[in-house]
Amino acid sequence: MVKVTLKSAEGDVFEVDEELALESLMVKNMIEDVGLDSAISLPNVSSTILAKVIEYIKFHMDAQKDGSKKTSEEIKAFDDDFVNVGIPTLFEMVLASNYLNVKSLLSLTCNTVANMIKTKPPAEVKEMFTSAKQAKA
Amino acid sequence: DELLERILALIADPCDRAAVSEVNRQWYRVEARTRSRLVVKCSYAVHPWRLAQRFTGLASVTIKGRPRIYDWGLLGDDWGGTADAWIRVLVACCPSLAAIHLRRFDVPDSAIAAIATAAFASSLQVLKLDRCSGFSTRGLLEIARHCKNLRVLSLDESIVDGGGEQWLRALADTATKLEVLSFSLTGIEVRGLDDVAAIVSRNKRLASLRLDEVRTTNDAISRARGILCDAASLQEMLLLYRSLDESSIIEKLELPKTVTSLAGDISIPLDSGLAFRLLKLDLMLTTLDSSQLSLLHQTFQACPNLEELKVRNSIGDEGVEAIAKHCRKLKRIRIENLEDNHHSVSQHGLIALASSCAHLRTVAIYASDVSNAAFAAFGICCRDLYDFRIAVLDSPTPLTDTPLDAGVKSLLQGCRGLRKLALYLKRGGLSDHGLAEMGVLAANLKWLLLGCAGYSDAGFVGLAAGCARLTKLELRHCPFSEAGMAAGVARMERLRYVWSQGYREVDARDLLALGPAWNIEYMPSRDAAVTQFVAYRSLLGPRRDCPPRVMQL
Repeated sequence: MVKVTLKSAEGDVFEVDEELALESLMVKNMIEDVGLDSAISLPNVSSTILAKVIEYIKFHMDAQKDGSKKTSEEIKAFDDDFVNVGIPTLFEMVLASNYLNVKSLLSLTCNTVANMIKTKPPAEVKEMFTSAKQAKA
Repeated sequence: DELLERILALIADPCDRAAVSEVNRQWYRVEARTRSRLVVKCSYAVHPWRLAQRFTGLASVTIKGRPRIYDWGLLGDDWGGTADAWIRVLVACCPSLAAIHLRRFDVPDSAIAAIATAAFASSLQVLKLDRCSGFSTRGLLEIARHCKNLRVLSLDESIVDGGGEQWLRALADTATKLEVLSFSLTGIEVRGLDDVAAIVSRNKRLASLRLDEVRTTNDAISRARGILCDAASLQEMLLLYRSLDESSIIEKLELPKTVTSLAGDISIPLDSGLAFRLLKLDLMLTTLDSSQLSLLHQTFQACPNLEELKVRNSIGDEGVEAIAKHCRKLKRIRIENLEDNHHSVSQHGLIALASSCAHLRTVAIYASDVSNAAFAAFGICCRDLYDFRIAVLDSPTPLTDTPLDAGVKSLLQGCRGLRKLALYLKRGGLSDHGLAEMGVLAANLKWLLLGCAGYSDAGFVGLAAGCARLTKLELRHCPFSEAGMAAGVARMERLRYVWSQGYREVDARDLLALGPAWNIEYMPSRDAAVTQFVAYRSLLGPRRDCPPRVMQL
């Protein structure tokens, strides 16, 4: 199995299967452009977030493989648990999945944010957003 | 921006969208650009240009014109509420509009023609003009000619001038995607059924067909018969029919097996196969009274699956008991008043209904009497109630059980999901203490109508201390003064509309205490029971099309 090396914003190196890396359309384009020889640098994604994204893709790839015994409930439970993080992390994941162009993760995280906004009074939405912004800064 | 747009695309509820728009300038901008659906509850609250400038991507617009009480003839025909300005703006600024819904507007033919020739006309999918007036079938002809992709054309309860089959013929020629064609209670007469049959056969997805009066011959009926019978998607059917032989047209037409909703000129008992399938039944035009006990039972026994029912109160308690016994799946019921009526519905019928039909969500009943036990029965049995309206008919006999404080309290305690409530009682029906208790429990109510409730201003102020989410309030014949009402309204932060008639007049200027955010329109009369005012929040200030008899304070 061919490996791809991904380099996070902090310079940490993640070695992953090519199949997994190709789930990110952004990485896929990079590989097509520059080949597999050098590490692919992802200056917009922190190590924590990159690790989470890899975890997410890996789980879903396994779940889709033939012979996987994962039920749709289990997958949903994983997804729910996966996005059950603080608002700052969630916002970072939205940004990362957009940057890396991982469609399924982007829609999962966007949906989560949308659901968090729903039924909240304006002041709370505002607070939620500013807390995320502060964390980023 | 792009990501925010993505997230906002997943948020549809207007309250959520409003919250989002208040976060900061960027969110406001992105939200305004991506808002596709807009509902304006009061057309005089804001300038159309202002909204069109803010929301540039609107696909669906609902605008409400005159107040609800206009329908009762209380405001006079010249009150205002013309749709011209709105339609001008929509035509000029909203190129991607696919749905227009106007309610209670004066819509002249020229405005309808403007819709028909707008840039969005060919992509317009939904046009609803309900309870509107001022237009004629000439305007509809323009719509039929130009809006070729309509899915929904609904004119229910609008007053439409002029007859002529031309517009219907044009519709039969152009429309192929209609799902709803509805013009019940509009006064549009249909002669012959050929155009209707052509529409049915060309629009394969037609699900709802609601017509007004049909004058036709037996020949035309037999020609239309086969076509209607083959309409595989038809679910709802309404026809009025006047003929010499008094027999029902629905009987003569064979309806497809898909029909689950029936209204209009219906003769009972219904065909048993059809009745068993029915989910919705409107018997407003069917004469049924409490003396026809076996017919009542036969009728309702045949429809065990009914979820929605409209009947006249002439069925009496006996009729309501028959409904309660046989139609246990009911979710919505409306029992309308019929003038010159000796039979009526009282607390006995109400209790029977509440205790058998646990799924009721919407209840609107004209009753001759009501009791604490009846309200309590709804509170205990019908936990899903969303909209509950009781109007006690005017008569010299007082209520048997007053005050109804305890009953209303248990209703509100039991039905936490109640959003709309109308209690039109008789003098002494609710005490000041009862109103104050109601206020505490009515935190979720959005609309409230009170008739003959309370004893003094203290009751209203007590009510107003609760009602945190109330947006519309209608008061009739309640003994509150202007100062008391102004003080109460000031305590209800979300309130944006008040109408009051037949209150305790002291000095109309006391209403000015509401402040400049409110437009107050005062309609005095020599008869104190008729004096009224309408007040609504507005960003525009006093409106210009006010008739001279209405005083803007």
